[in-house]
Amino acid sequence: MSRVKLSGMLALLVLGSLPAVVHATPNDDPARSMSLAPAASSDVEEEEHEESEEDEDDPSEEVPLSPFSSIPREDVERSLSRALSSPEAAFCNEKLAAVRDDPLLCSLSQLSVRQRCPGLRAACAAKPAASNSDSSFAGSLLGKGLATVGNLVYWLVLLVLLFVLAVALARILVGVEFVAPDPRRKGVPLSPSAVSAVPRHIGESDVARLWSLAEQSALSSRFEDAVAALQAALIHALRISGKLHVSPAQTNGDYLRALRSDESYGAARDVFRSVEAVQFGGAPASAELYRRLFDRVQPIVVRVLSVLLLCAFCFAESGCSNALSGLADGGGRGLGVLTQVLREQQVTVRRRIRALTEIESDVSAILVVGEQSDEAWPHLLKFAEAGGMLVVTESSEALAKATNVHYLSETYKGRLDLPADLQKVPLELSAVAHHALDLGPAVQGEQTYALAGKHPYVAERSYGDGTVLYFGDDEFLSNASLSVGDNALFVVNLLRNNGRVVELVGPWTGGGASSTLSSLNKAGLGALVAQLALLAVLFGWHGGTAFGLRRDPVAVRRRAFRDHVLALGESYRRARATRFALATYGSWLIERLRERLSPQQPIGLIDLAGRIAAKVEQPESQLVLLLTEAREAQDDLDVARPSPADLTTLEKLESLTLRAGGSK
Amino acid sequence: MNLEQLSSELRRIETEVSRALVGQESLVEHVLVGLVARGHVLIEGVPGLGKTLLVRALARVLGLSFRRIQFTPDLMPSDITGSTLYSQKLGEFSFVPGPVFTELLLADEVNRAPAKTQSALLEAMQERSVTTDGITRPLADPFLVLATQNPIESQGTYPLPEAQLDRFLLKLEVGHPSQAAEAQILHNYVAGFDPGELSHLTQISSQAAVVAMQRALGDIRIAREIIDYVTDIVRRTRTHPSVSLGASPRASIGLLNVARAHALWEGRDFVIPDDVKSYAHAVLRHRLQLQPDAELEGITADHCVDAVLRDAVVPKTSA
Repeated sequence: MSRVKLSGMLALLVLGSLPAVVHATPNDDPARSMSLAPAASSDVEEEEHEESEEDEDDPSEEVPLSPFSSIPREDVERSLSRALSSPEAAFCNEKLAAVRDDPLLCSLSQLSVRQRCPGLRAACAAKPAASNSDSSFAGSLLGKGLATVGNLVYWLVLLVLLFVLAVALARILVGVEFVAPDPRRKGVPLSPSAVSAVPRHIGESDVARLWSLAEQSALSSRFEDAVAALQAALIHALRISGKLHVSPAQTNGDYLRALRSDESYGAARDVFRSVEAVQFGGAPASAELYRRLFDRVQPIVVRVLSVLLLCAFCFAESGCSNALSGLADGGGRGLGVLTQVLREQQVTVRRRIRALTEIESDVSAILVVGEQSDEAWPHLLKFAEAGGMLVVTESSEALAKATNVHYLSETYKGRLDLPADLQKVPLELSAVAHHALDLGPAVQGEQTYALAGKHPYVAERSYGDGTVLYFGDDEFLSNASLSVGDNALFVVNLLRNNGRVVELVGPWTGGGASSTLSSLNKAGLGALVAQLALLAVLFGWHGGTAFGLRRDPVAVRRRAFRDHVLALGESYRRARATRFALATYGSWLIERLRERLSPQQPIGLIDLAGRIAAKVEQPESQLVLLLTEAREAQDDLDVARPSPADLTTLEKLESLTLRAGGSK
Repeated sequence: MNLEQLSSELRRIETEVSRALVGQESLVEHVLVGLVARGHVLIEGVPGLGKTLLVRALARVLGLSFRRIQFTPDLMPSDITGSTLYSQKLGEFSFVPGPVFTELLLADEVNRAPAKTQSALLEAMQERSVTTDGITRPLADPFLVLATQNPIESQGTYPLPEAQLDRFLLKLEVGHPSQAAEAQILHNYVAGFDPGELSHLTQISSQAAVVAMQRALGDIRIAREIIDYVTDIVRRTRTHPSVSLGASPRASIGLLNVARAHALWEGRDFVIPDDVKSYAHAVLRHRLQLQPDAELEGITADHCVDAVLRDAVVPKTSA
């Protein structure tokens, strides 16, 4: 951006709508300012530029040199009004105490009489101890109270959970030393309610609860229940490890056979034998027995519980690590207003996601929000050097080295002054500044636009063919800041001066991934995927080799009808059901013969034999005998008495049917 | 002898018999359990698996007398029980005992004889006595019938009637030995092993010891829950949809006795559910009569027993 170009936009400032509140310009003349006429083209701008240079000695004809005039004030006001009234600009209409607690918002609202957010001003003006009759305030008080209670409950629950987890870990990792009950108290019976409060181990599958039940029973001197619960805990721990399938129909022997090649076989056998001796052999269950079994079971159960806790920890960690930071564009500190106003002035505003290695040629300005990595700055400076406008709001070592502009820690709250060459421009700028600029020795191509006290707050410096535009704080560009005074007009004009495409560069820039892993990592899923992989490894470790075994998909073959017939015949053969086969298949063949040889009316076996005899030229007496045998088989279904004669009869009947014309 | 000694002796018997009969340790265990439970054993298997060798080796190691009957279609009942013959020398009728008068009897291919001849064994197996010409003669104690039958041949055979089958305490199905066991059999053969000559086997037990084992069963404790488990299993066989005739109360008693014998084998003085479950197939499979359509669908008695065991809840389970 050159001075020539900046000064070419002078005449566009519209003063007609400018209010009387113009800051710190003793020579300021509103009436004169209002006489300025807008220009419509660059040719006009050039001419007026020349005219202004010619007329600069004439104070009565002086026109304020303003770089903030390319966009008319009315347009900016309309855009600003729409942006601030939209539901997304929540801060502007917010009346809750949360707004009042933000120092930036309230400070800005107090700095300027031209505050465009009435809700914000009202919220900041209200006192916390306002009248209880105010329903909104009562609502906010109730909400605040509920929020406090919710916070207390949340922390209380969290503390209890942490305490329980710590106790469980301590008991598992350190080990619980069983202490036999005091013999003097042995005779003291438990109350019925206490007895009924202890659940039985049968039907319980939670290892921790079984473990606890065993301890409870042992401390109550009910050692039979205690050892049974220990055994159940062991079985279910092995089930969780994937070594056992547990069901009510499985015996301990079944479990042992499943564990035959496992390292826990010995411990399980010892426990099972001891518990069975108590349960079925009438052996006494004593504290010594419980202690011995406890020592055998503990390592296995502890291992399983440790894995479960580890899994729980992994999941909890993944839940905690899911903290996605985002930029709230609609909040007081967001950039939503700037974006919207620029867009309504035909400026394309986009967030740059891709890396800065290759910046497109249509980009006219880059607004850097927040810190950037050292790798990004060379690309940004290169962009400025090639003619673009680089807008920065924070200090950077690389930038300071390249341009010799530094940021100072200076606190300033109030209206910004304009430099001497812009004293006549009617602008009211307000800021809550935390930094100021140290431009060093003046150089050519440098322009200061606003001062925070003695130090420059907004300035521009040439860099190569382009410029670098400095803002003391990024808060000056925020929604809340743009809602007061002429801040929006000032910023929008500055940013649009250089072109029509503005890109926002921030923490999101360069988020595109070059690999799958990088993509997962940038999406915040790296930790989750790593934990899932860890869980898979754990499951694989505990599930044994069966986990993840590759095998071919099962091919479902369609069987031919012939296969079904052969299978049926094979079933008959295995069952030796020759008689059954003769009865069923023989009756079917007879019916087919009847249909073929007497389709009109049903006929008896003798008539049927006569017709078959006529057709196949075979003695009728033989055929009557054959058909009768087949028919009698239906009344004499003795499956348990197989006979080769049945098969012979069946074969003859089938042959006869074929000769008589077939069964179809 | 206490239970541990008896158990140890049974194990040593098994080990010694397995020196001759390689790769059939489970079969030897089941036969010994059947012997201790005072039951008879029906062995079903194809020829050449060493069934005769098993009985001969058992007789040798146990120190019991042994007789073998090859069942054929023309075998007569008197060929089993014995008959009364006139002795010209003495001038009177005298009873000539049949092969049933022994301690170990091998009834080889028992389904090749007709039902009448098979029935000759009924009294001997159940009552452990033989009645001829109105005189009842007791059989030896112990008395164990080991019957064999071939599962694949149907021509010329007479399936055992249900009443006969119910007399057998166990029905064992013998499979082919593993490859390693078969290789060991060949090694033994090459080394000069003669199935007809078993003098190299050591006699470990005696008739009195076997009787002592059988009597020791009375000391095996049975919890009430075990009895409930046995009756539950047997009753479920009667209501299974694929079974037309379920197991009898004799099967319940047999299953209980076998469970006790297995507990003795394990050296325990009490029965656990696994004793019952592990022998349920052997005790029940020959006592179930299947529905014809179930047979046609290829369902076997073992499938039904499997289903019953899947449904029966084990007492004092941890699940």
